[in-house]
Amino acid sequence: MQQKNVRNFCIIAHIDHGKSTLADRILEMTKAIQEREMTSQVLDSMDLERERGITIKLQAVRLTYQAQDGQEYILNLIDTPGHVDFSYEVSRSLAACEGALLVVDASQGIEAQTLANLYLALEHDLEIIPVINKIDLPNADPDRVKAELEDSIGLDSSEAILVSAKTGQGIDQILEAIVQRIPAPKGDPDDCLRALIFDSHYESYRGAIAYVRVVDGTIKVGDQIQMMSSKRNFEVTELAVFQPEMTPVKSLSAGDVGCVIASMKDVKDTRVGDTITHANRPAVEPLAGYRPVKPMVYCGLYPVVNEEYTALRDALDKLQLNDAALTYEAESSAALGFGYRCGFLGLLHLEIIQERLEREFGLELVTTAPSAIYRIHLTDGTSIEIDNPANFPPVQKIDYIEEPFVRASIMVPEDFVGAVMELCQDKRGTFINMEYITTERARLEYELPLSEILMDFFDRLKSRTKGYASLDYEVIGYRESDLVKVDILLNGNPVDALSCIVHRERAETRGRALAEKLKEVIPRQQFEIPIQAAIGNKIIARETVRALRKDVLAKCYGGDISRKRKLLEKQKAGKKRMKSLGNVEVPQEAFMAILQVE
Amino acid sequence: MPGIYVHVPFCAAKCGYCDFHSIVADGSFVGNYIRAFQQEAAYYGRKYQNQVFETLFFGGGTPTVLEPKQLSQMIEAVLENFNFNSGFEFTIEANPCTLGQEKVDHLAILGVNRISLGVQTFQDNLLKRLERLHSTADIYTSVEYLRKAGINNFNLDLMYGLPEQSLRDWETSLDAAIALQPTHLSCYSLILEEDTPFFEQYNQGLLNLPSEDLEYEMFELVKNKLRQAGYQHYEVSNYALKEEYQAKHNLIYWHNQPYLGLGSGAHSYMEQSRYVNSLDLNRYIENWLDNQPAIDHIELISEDQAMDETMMLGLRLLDGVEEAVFAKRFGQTIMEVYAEEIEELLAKKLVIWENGRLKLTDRGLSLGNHVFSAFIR
Repeated sequence: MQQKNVRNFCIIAHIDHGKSTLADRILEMTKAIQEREMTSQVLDSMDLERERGITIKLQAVRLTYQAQDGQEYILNLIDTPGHVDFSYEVSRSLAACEGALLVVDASQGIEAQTLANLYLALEHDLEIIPVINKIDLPNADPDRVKAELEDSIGLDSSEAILVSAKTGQGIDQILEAIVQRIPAPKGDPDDCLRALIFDSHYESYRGAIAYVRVVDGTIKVGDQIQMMSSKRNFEVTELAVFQPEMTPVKSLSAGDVGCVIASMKDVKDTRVGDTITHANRPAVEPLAGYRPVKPMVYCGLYPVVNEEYTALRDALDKLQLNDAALTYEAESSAALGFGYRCGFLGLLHLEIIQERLEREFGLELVTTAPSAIYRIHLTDGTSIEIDNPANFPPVQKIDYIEEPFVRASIMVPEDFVGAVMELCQDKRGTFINMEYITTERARLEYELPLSEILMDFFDRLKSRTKGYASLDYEVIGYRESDLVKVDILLNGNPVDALSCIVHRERAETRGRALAEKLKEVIPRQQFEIPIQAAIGNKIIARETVRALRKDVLAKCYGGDISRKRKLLEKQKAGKKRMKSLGNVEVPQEAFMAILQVE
Repeated sequence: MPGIYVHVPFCAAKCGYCDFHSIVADGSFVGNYIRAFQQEAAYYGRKYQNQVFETLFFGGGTPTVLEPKQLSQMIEAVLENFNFNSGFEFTIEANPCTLGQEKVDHLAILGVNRISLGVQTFQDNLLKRLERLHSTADIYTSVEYLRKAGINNFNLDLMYGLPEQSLRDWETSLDAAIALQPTHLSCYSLILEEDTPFFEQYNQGLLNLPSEDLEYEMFELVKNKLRQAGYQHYEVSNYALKEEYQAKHNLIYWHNQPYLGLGSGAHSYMEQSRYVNSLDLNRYIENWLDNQPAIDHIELISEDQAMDETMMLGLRLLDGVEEAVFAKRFGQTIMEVYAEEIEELLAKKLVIWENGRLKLTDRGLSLGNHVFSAFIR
């Protein structure tokens, strides 16, 4: 296929605006899959993605399309994640494309994250095709959305395509627009090879698989290739494209998207953002890679059973291969034993990794409350950065503390403006700006401490606005804050994994709420358990889990023995899943309790 | 020596809290059941013709819903096919409203020497709440029938932790029970079993159950009251007026000794395996009318499992598990097998060693599940 007949594009959309359904329809229309094979949302292959209705990992699919001009085109659809945590991955897929479909829900309008991703796309000089989806809905208001497109982004709304991914209406227009408006890739197939790795994953038989966009030159099976960052050489054993099932090809040349398999046994050999070139005819300059991402949120992940420590490390290794944003290093906690301190892009990222570890690797984990990175200036003039409250220095050594702040942009229907402002105030926010995008929708700007965003901000925002608000934020730097460490003592013993860093004014309320929450989640045991919250030596709250007084099976006769034994086994197994701190059994959810306090 | 349990899976009506295997059935169906049962009794009678059995227990369901003639048929089927010790304990479960003088006399003639009465409570409003068919008055008349028939060894089943029940209510029932001077009392806290109407009501928030603390106080009240009234507390929920009145059949279970179960849904523990007769009444009847065993499930009990269960069951008895008996049976001492678990339980003051027996402390009695589960490997 000639390069001029190739189009590489991605879809930018807010969660729930119908990206996956739209992708399904495009796949159907181009006969990439037969209708009867369609399970809904083909691109989202991870169970988790389908359950949560979001796209986490990007994927690439090659489609063949017979255009109205009579020519056949190859359309490479590169899927992108739609959540604020994953903007790093978005930029990876954008780098592999020349154009993007901007999907907006006809009943909801543009959301904060869509806007953020759109700006990223514009930075990459992508051709934008606005698509207004869900026009079949009774409350669809395409004219309002068109006005939003013009007013807030400055797009020509007459170019917007009206579609219903659900009924298939307008999909043909999208395909034509992709062919006509998105430029063909440039790059010389005879030049020195430069292919950008935009994703990778690990298979036990094939080793690491690199998803690439060939920018210059041509790569063939049997070629000796070199990773430009590590200078390591490999022989290409397989090349493939996804239609959407993996289909082998003999070569990929400038403009193509596909995957490279070259018996790369080490996950680190296919670093996302690296450039692949030929070993015997290397390119002079690698492609612009990706800025290394810096995790913003840290938490401890500990196996419930100490023996699973190695398994946890192996699992993190594997996940990191296609998730460069995940970082981890070994740490130990007096309460929880050996585990890993992990860095994430945001809370959703954290939750997804935690769930994947539990689901795909069968690990049982204790997750500690997420923390931002605090910069602590000491009285001796030096400063340290900590991402774990356990490392909080003694108060007398602290001169002052800085914490990261973000600028948050929140889009919300006007009815909820008051509720959102109240929430932001409550979260130590500073009001910056408010503008009306249309008469019904406003965009609020606040500056907030990141640590407050980490505390269930998103959930609360959603619940206060009936799910209508959307949030995007970026870190704007460090600011001084009056912070203290609140410790939790169970049965008189401090539990390092339950400590948290909070603003002094809120410390007492937070401490009290935390103690109350812990009282709820820690089951009654054979003795009374005092729960105390303390700042330094000062106790600020106290609760008691009363002793369990009666727990004995009333009956056990001949017909009951097997059943009662199973019941006791279950009770025992439940106890094993808890972490035993001193002689107190603490369930996993206790370590996240800080997130659930009001 | 093993005991025999016979299951009679019929009731006059189903109660809201009960998950026992029973149905409300008509006469011809019951007739078929009895014919199948006779075949089963004959089959196992041949198999165990050289075995002497120590106890016989007719449970259900409500065995006494059967007509006297039907009862004779079932009882005779057992007595004709199996050998028993002389003077063996022969218990039958009964509900107050299913007994008449004639029926009780008949049972006495058939050899029944112990009756377990499903009294539950002495308060009519609570009996109604439990969907029991009898009234408090029925309890008194039933006990009179027993006495007249010369069956002085009888048990009353009582329940506490009932919906709407106060501590005071419970005390009233206990006093009334003591006044009847039964030789044996079983006092159970209500357990919500899945697939019962009570469980359903509980999930809908319609069951106003006493708090855990109140239930604990009710448990304490039974212990104190019955001990004061001269009853010996010998198992978690069981009390006997004298040692000889302890339920010998049930002691077989708690001593983890073998027993043979006959009838649909009955469990057996014979020759290191535990098995359940088919719960499907139609299958049970069809199979046995064709002289084929009808078994739902067989579990082979390993030596380790037998040890665990010996501890789990034996510790329910206030006398605990005797070191010498355990060692003789398994060739290993309790400490050799469970040193670590026992150290921990001793430290938590849940068990103690006394006269060569490992037993629950008073605290351990209330938190028995923590002790029992420690022995499940």
